[in-house]
This record gives sequence, C-alpha cells and structure tokens, in this order.
Amino acid sequence: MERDSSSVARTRALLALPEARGALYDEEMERTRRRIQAVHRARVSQDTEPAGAPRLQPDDD
Amino acid sequence: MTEPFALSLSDAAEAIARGRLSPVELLDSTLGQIERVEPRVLAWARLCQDDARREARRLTDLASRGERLGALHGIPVGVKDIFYTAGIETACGSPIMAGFVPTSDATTVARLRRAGAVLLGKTHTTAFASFDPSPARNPWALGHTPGGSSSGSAAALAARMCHGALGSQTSGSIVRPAAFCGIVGLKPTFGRVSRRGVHPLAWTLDHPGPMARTVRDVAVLLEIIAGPDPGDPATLSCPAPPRYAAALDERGAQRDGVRALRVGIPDRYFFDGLHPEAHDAYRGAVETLRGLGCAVRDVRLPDLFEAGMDAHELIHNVEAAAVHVDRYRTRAAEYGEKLRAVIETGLEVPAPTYVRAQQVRTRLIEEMRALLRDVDVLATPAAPGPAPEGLASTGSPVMNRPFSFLGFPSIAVPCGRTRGGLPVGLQLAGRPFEELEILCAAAAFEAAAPWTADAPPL
Repeated sequence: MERDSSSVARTRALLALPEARGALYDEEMERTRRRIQAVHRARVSQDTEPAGAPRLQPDDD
Repeated sequence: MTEPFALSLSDAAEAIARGRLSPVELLDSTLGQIERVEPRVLAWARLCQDDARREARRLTDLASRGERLGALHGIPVGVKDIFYTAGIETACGSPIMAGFVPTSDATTVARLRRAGAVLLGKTHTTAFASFDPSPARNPWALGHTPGGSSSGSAAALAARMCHGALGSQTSGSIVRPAAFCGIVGLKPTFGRVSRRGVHPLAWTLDHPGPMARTVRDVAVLLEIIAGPDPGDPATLSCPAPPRYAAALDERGAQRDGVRALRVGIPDRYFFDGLHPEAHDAYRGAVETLRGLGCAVRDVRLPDLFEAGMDAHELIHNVEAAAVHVDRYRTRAAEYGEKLRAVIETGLEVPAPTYVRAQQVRTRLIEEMRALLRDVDVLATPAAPGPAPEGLASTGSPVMNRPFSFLGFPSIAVPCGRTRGGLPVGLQLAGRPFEELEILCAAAAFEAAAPWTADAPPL
C-alpha cells in the first residue's frame, strides 16, 4: 500500500502539526504499512462489533 | 535473622500485625537499603523520605494502640511515575510533564494508602510508559535493562528497596520487567483495576497492576487495588473480585491444589526467536507443572492470532497519537524518538483501519475464549530471553502483547536463571476475571521452584 502523501499532508495541516518527522519515522511507517495490510486481509464479518463499544450502566437516579 | 527490608510483603505485614516489627523499623531498614543500592540501580524518579517517615510514625502509633488500617499497614511501596500522587510530582518520565503535581491520587494509589501502605516515592518509567528508556538498571546485572515500561518498580523490588509496587501494561510493561528482574508481576483483566489517575498511553490497552517479590504478595496487592471505581467505566460491569490472598492460602493448603489443572502450550508464536537458555528454562517449568499434577497439552492458536498482533500495534499507535496530539503540536522535539515514531505513524493510520483492528480484536477475543474452554491456563515464556545488555532498549514485549490485546489476565513468575545469572520468567495467562486461577498456578510453581527467594548480588 502506497502512502498518499497529499492526504497525510492534509491531515497534518488540519491538526496543525509540525512538518518535521523524527529519526525513526520511516522505519516505524514501514512496519505500520505492513500491519495495515495484514489487518485488512483478516476475515471479519460486517456484524462484528468493534471492541471498545460503550459500557453502559443504568442511572443511579 | 532476615533484615526487615529483605522480608516479603506478606511476612513484613504479618510481623507488623503481630507486633514483632514496627512500621518505623521497617521503613528505616528499607531506607538504609535504598541508601546502599540506589546510587547503582537508579530505580527511583523521586523519593519522599520525609512524608514516608511521618506516615510510618503515625502508623506505628496506631499499631501501638492496636489499630491497623488494613493489610498493608506500614508496608513501604513504590508507585510508577505515571500514577497520579496528590502533592507529589508526576513527571511520567518526560521533560514535558516536569513540574506537574496532581491534586489527587490515582484510585489505585488512594486504595494502597487506605490499606496502610507507606508511599516511598515514584519509580522510574520509560517516557509516558512507551519505549524511550529511563535511567533504571537491572539489579542482576547493572549493564542490562530492567525492562520497561515499569522499569523502576521492577528494579526497586528486585533490589529490596520496597515491598510492593504499582506498574502498568499496554503491551508488555508489567510482565516483561518482572521477568527480567526476577520478580512477580500480574497484569489483571482489563477492567479489574481502575485506570483513573493513570496517565494513558492507549486507553483500550492500558492495564494497571501489582508487582511484588512473591506470588502471594501480588495477590495481597491485587485484592486492595481491584474492584469497581466510578472514575473508570471499564471497572463497573466487572464481577466482584474475590479475596485473592485468602483464597490462595486456602488452595495452597490443599495438597493437590493444582492437580488436574489443564495447562495449554501454544503451537507457535511464543517460540519465534526464543533465546536457547530461556527455552530450556521454559521447558523445565512446563515439566515442573506436569510434576505438580497439571494436565499439560498442546493447543492450536487461532489462525487470526498474528493479525491480532498487527491490530494491537495499530490500535496502540493510533490511541497514543490521540493521547499526545495536542502536546505534540507544540513540543514534538521534546519527545523521545521511539514515542515520536509511534505518534507520527499513529496519525497516519486510516480511521477505517483502526475500526477494523478493533473488529479483529473482538474476533480474537471470542476465539481465545473458546480455546480457554479446553484448557484453564496458557503457559508461555514471559520474554524472548533474559534482559538484553545495554540501556538503550527495554527489550521486546512480543510475549506479553497478546494478553494486553485480549485483556485477559497474565502473570510472570521467575523460572530460572541463565549461566550469566540473569533471571528468566514463566508467563501464565487465563480467562477473563480468573486472576485467581493464574495466581494459584503461579503459587504452586513458585513453591516447587522457589526462584523468587533469591536476591541479586548487589
């Protein structure tokens, strides 16, 4: 998967983030790219609720 | 006679309860040990001797009147420096947080204090509990990492500078340093212990937990810090925690406490790149469990397992980016290079990928729950090897990450030492909210293979 540099630049501009990147960015981004591909290759049905959904309790009052 | 600083938490608590030792005597002995070894170990971000002395005097007065605040009456503890402590700087191992003094305690810290603990100080953490190391050293070999991110808590315990400590784990930050330093660390089920007042690294992966020198000591601490907290919604729907220490004592008193416990040995993942001496120690540990009467069997991890580990890393980076984005905007240069890379890449993970990663997590939780119907616990190495040499890295969390991702409980108990004298740990993991099961298995193992009794040659 190729990184879309214009969308990354847009995100950074939206969040007002600095342009400069750290020394380990490229190395970690390479791993991140592989992980993104691996996660999208995993078979997950559409009715799988993502973990982290709200944990609701009845109101005390 | 054992010096008070070298007693286990349980033995020190019993000595105080029986009037054989006072909180002041225990604190004096522990501060003496700190004076002797801390200049070499560097486990503490800051010590609070004056406050600790004041509290120990108060607790000694109470004890002399027959009053006892709780199970930790007079016990010196260390707290990882990402846990908020009222009136005490909480710098999270980073210059960005220097000078931050919380006005209230984290729930876990408040519970320790209410149980009578004496807060000795804040232990070193890697910066924001990520991967940029702290100055702490491994007491077993000062040129080696103690692991991270709960580096100082593990080092202080191993060096006999406190009797119990708090750590936290997002990937492998309790179990790995515990293994590297030859102590016991328990990562509870997600929701078992409140996160309120603990600086987040990644909200859905963060687990505060207890660290100590013996399995029973960890059970005592868990009993105190576990349970519902309105300040952390994840704790509210959880079953009530049992009285871990008493239940452990009861099970331990039964001769065949772990007989027929079904222990699963994963078919893969946990053995990739495993150090030969760590592999030997692990095989020996499994034989010990078998000798205790456990039914050891091979289990096949779900096909989705490896994708789950990729999902963990993506969730970790995205959530860390979300935690830090506002500070990062203006202070990027003050972040360590490792956390900086985590934040920068987390910002670039597409939102649908994050959601997919959380769906993979749901699926893997279901499949691992099914696997843990066939066995009661999983036994794996606690780290890929002993503590690596050097202080620039805290080692790999690869062995611990699965249980942080799943939210299932896991524990490290020492299971041997390398020829070079470095500790190696066994990791036991169990079903959600069945901390007692892994505590019982770890305690039985510890009784049969008492590596926790040894102190480093400082």
